[in-house]
Amino acid sequence: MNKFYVLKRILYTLFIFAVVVTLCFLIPRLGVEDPCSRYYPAQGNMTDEQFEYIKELTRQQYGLDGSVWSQFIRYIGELFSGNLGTSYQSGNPKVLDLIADRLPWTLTLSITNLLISLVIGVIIGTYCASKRGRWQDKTLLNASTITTAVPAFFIALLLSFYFGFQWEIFPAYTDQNLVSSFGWNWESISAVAYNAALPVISMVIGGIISYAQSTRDSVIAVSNENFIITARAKGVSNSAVLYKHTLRNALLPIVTNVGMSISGLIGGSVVIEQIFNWNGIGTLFLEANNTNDYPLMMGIMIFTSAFALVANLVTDLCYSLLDPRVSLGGRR
Amino acid sequence: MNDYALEIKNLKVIFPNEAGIVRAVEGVNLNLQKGECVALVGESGCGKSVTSLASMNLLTSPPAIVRAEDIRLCGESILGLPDKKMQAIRGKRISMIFQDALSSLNPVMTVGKQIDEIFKRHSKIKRSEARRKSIELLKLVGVPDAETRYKAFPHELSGGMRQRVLIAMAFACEPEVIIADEPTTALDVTIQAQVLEVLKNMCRMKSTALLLITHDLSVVANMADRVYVMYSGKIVEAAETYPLFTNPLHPYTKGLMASVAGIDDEAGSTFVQIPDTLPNPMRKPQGCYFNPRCKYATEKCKEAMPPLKTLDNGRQIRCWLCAENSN
Repeated sequence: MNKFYVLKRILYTLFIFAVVVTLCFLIPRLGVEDPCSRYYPAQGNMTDEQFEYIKELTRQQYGLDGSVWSQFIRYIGELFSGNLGTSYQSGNPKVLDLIADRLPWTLTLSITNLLISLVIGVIIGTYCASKRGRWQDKTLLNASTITTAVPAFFIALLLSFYFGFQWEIFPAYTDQNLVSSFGWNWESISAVAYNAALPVISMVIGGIISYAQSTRDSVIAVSNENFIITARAKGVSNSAVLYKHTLRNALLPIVTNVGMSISGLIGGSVVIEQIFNWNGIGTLFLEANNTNDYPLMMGIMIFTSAFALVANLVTDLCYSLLDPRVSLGGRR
Repeated sequence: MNDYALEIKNLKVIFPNEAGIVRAVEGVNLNLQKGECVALVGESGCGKSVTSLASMNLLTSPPAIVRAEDIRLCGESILGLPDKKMQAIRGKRISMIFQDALSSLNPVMTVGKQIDEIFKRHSKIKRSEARRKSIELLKLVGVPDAETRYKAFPHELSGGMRQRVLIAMAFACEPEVIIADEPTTALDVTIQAQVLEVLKNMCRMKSTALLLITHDLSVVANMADRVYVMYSGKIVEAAETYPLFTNPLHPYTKGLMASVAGIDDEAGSTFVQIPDTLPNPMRKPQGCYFNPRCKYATEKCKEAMPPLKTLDNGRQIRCWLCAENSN
């Protein structure tokens, strides 16, 4: 590994992170509504002066006093000590604690989605590549046209309507006792699986087909390469040609896809979570948004983007392990 | 009878597509004696490579349709063998060297692993033994510092080294026949000479029959004992190398010879070119396929395809004019 390249990549990631933090800080403050308005007491028979004073105290309590610039400096200072601030929610919980509570639920959905999509997608894609031009292949092409055009949330709504409300096979809304009653026992886990079925299925449909399509394209491209003929001319059996020569090369671009999906593991299911009322980060973010909970909004955005940046960095660095031609910045 | 290392009888390959039928190879007869080096020459697109791929059963069908009377390897018919049996023969008894060595090697596998693979496939030997033999082979084809190169990836080697690796792979199981499909076209001239030398020595050492496919006549003159000249899917002339170069009979061969720059050529003299290009394989001309480009063409040439005629001295020629002259 080239140390300079790694260092450069890390510095670049930090720079992007700084930009993200700045934007996350500024964007909520572009809103016209005074975020504290819902926390002011009624003016009653206070004079305007007294009321102004009360308001100022409230703003101080929520860390919204002073200029935007001074707030920013304060926020960055806190960020460096690993503190994402306190939420405006009742009981003033720490933002980091709120995220930590919700994170496993979001990851349950998104990791399950990623694994199922990847495994089934690669299998279907490889199969369709071997049936190139026949009906199996054409079906995949049509399916991928449809799922590219139809967004996941639409599929989610359809599933929710039919499987949830009409036929009542799976819950259309997540059971709200799921979180509070969770324990590491078979009953709880199967309850989670039961509730997660519809959200996962609605994401997995598009995921499988998109992985299948890119695997299929990649496998076909690689099987036209000269080194595949070389391998066959050496007498290598068909299955060894497929696994050792074709797939090993064809899956390189798929690794990039997985890397990109990993960066979306946290932030990618906001809408789906909302539709099925799933108790994850996405729902938390919408709650924060609806209550003008600045620290929570910023916290989630910063956490999500930090995760994405690290995922991208790791994918980049891992790629050179798989493809020897990528020598991290080029030694020559 | 069974003197031939490789014998191809009446090979036909067609590629049907929506626009029509591409007749890539039309009844090619070709044979190699044991230890002999035979060149198959012709322009790009005349069917040389398809002939070689078809004889190793490496064409994917569909789209290709391959028909032949017989293809024999050391007397045994290998035509229409099931996949499994053919795989056991490929690489062990007949192997191939391709032209573009970079794209012909798997980019994510070390060259050592790629040579080992042949030993693993065809002889039941241990990994360490395969490794030892691979390194030995690399040394034999003139790869310096073979132990280090064994662990290198194809992109880390130079063009000449990569071509040597391909040659090493082809010779790994000491096959009876090697087909080299333009093994030196991707290399510059000095490296080309070195690689040809390696190929020649290896063939001599292992007494391997070599079918050399090329369009480079200097390579032919340097390497081949006999030459087949192919034009638009048919053999048009076959002869031993020396007589062919000194006295080409077919107008096409004459054209090829004339288009080579000679050391005695005067400065500023122009090359003689064969006018026009190969006929569209979907719309080949009536009569002799070469007639639209042939300056000697007669009415007869435009009407019927001449047969491949064997002359008294063993030369074969497909031309109305020459057949008449020699009689």
